[in-house]
Amino acid sequence: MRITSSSCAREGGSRELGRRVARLRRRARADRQVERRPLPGAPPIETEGLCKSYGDKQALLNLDLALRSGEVFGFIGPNGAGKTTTIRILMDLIRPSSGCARVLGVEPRAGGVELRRRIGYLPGELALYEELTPRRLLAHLSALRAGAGQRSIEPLAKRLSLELDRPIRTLSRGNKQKVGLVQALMHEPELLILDEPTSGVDPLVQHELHALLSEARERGQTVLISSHVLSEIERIADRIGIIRDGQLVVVDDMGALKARTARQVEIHFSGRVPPSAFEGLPGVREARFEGDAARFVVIGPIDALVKAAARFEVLTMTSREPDLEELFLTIYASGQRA
Amino acid sequence: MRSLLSKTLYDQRRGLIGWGIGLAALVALMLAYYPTVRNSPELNKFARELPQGVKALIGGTVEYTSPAGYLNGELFAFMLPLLFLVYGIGLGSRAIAGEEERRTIDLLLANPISRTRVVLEKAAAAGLGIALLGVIVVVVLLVGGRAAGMRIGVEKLVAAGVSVVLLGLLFGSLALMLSSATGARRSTRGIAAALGVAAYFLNALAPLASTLKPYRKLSPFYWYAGNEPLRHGLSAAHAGALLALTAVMVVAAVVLLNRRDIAV
Repeated sequence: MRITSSSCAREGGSRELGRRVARLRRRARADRQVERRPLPGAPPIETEGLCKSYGDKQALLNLDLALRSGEVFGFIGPNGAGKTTTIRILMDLIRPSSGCARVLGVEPRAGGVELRRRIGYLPGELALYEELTPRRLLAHLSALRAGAGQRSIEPLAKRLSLELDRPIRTLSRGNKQKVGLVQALMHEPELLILDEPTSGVDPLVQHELHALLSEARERGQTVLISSHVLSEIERIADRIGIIRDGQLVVVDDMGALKARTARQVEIHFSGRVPPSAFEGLPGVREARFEGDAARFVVIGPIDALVKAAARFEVLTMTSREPDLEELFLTIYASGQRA
Repeated sequence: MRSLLSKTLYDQRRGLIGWGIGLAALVALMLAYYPTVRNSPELNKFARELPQGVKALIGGTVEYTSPAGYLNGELFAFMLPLLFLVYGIGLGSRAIAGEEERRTIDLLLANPISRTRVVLEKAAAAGLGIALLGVIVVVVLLVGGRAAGMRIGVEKLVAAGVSVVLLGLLFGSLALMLSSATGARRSTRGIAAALGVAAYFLNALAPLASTLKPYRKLSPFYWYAGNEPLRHGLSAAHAGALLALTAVMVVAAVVLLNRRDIAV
């Protein structure tokens, strides 16, 4: 409960009314104080009917999201789908138009400083104080956290091979991103919210980040990680939620989702193969034969296809992971059934 | 940089050094001319015969060649308030909107620091910067004034210095409020500067135009100069009015920033 206007007290002018408002306010404040304490077992992140609109544009529409404690949750969607909007609401940088969000059991605005102490955040459009060196910037940010994470700066920088003593403006995009990662991770927060953490970093750093996030999960930290590229987070995410046009399309276990997504398999044989040998295979949706090559679209395990192909001489076989668009298509296709 | 306050001061350092040197040079230059002016009583006649409008803009009611008249005409009526306004508005508009424009504000507000504290520490840093410039002006006036043979009480010089600092604080906090409300640095700077110019002319021309007269007290420049601090020292009412208005603006800045969305 929150009282936002005190105009009634002033207009009424009566002392009694004023006293009553003061009492109500005190109670409201006490309520908020209680609210501030996280409930045990509350989901680290929970949103209910979250909406955000900018003028006519609906950036988020009735988003219901619930993270489980200790999981790595991948938040996937194309650019402009509403990932950053959601995340910035969770960080109390923007306020929802309607609906509500709870982070570690409290509303972001009510949680305030105490809540942010327990969160590590990497902004999507990371901008740093370019004139500082990473060492100075990270020391400053750690000081704002009362020194938390100060001792982790060196080891984290070493693991991500980040140079600490060059001015940030001379660093590459990937190296700037590393600075952002270090500041998000250094104080080992209960909750990590990383908005497109892998953008601009090379595969080696991506690998190291995955290792760091695995360790975070082992320590019991919860991770929300957003991306517009599925392959960047499918290895690390326990579950993923797919957002499109401000709406959550699906939330599922990574494994289950992969099992029902279509992938393309291309096989080159030493000679022509009879298409009839590949008819009626479970999971194979499409088969195209061109000379010695055959292309298949398969949903789920490719076991049957492999065994059918093994009867012939196979030169090469490639299986391409579905990209985000293909994933959407399969979800929409299978969504009809579900 | 243990805090946002110290970081903001650190960010200001180059500007502060440049402005400090510039202001010291300006004040020293004006003082260097004083011995010549003092020995030219005909300037008083010239000043007296200036058109009413020009006299109003230069301000002051005492003889031009007296220390108070000279310092007022050359520094405190126009030049110093203008420079303190520019500096204060620059800091105030950068405080929040600058972080937002550079997009560093997401990183800043992700820390356990409230928006209220961000505004207050930025305001404090800007206030310290403006005050430091005021100290520089007063010190140069004290040292240089003695060298130039200027007979004027220390408390009068301090009063004038404090007054111009308070005016800078007021317009700085106005810019801070606009910057907190909108997040737009350029328009903040423009609007605050326009209000500054309007306030200056309102105060200067009100005594000449009967339609403006009742509104003179709306101008912060009235509360800055109306009491003539170089002649009468600091007036608690005038200084208090400037300070109170500054406090209101800072509180408004806090409230407005807490209410709105931070721009991406």
